[in-house]
Amino acid sequence: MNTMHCNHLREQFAERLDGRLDEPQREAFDRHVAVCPECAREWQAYAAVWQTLTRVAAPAPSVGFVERTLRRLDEAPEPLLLRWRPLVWRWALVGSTAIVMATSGWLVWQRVQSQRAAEIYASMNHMEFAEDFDVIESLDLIEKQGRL
Amino acid sequence: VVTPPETNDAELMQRVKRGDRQAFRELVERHQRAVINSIYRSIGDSWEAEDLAQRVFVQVYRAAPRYKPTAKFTTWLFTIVHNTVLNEYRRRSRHAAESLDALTAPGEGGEPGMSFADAASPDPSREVARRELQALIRAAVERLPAQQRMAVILCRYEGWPYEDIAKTLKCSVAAVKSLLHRARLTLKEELRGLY
Repeated sequence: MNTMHCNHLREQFAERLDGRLDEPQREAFDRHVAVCPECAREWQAYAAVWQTLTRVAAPAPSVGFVERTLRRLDEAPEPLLLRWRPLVWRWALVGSTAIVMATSGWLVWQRVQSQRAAEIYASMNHMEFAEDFDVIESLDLIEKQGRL
Repeated sequence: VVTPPETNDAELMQRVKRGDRQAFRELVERHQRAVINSIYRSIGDSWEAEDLAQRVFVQVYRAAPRYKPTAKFTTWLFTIVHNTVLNEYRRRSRHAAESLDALTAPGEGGEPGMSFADAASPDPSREVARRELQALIRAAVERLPAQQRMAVILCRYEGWPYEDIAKTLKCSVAAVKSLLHRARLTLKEELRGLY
């Protein structure tokens, strides 16, 4: 029997066993197995071991399994952070928004304050000039009155 | 609250998300056998299997808010099962005293309170032989690498298609085919003489 063909066939064991070969592939597989004793022996062992696995009994759930599982939910409550996760995120968002707003407000207030200070300083300078003019005007008056 | 029989797992999970314990109970009732059996076939101890199965369901309840109905519930559930079993193996490898070999002594058939699917044989010698055979097969499956073992359990015992196994194990369909093929070749060698 063609070794290449045998190797190719053995690669299809899993798909043949799990019913994943299409009709032509399955027919070709079966035709080969029918005429190749070596592949037939390998295939029988391969399929038989899969069948053997079903001989392992499986335990049924013990009585009260569901109730014990439900009780376990209460016995080991969710960590606080997980339980309140949506609330934590919401408060984190509110808190960070408040911090950003407070910082921006403080910066704006600072800017306004400095502008006002500058304006006051400027107006004070202007007043000083006015006062100087007043003095000069007064000097004129005084001079006119011949007091000097 | 009586849940209509046609309610599917995804709908039940939507209710579990809202904290509905009745819906959670129904999910546990539906899937308890498959979860316990799969874990049992991985670790070979029925008490441990029940304990781990409970942990799996508690995780399902806690992770419910993250469940998206686009994912098939059973693939999501068995991803948790697979991870739980892997964690258990890691834990046991750290604690050598709790070796898996000690828990799967040949001839061990089960523990009090556990009923098995197979009908008990009336002949004691046949019953002993049956249990020994089961222990050998179970031990061979347990010795498989984790991915191969879970692929075998889901394919052989749960009858899952490759596509669902691939989603659960987070690999390709071709990889599942390869995992199953390699597992069968290993089992064929290990169980030679038993089939």
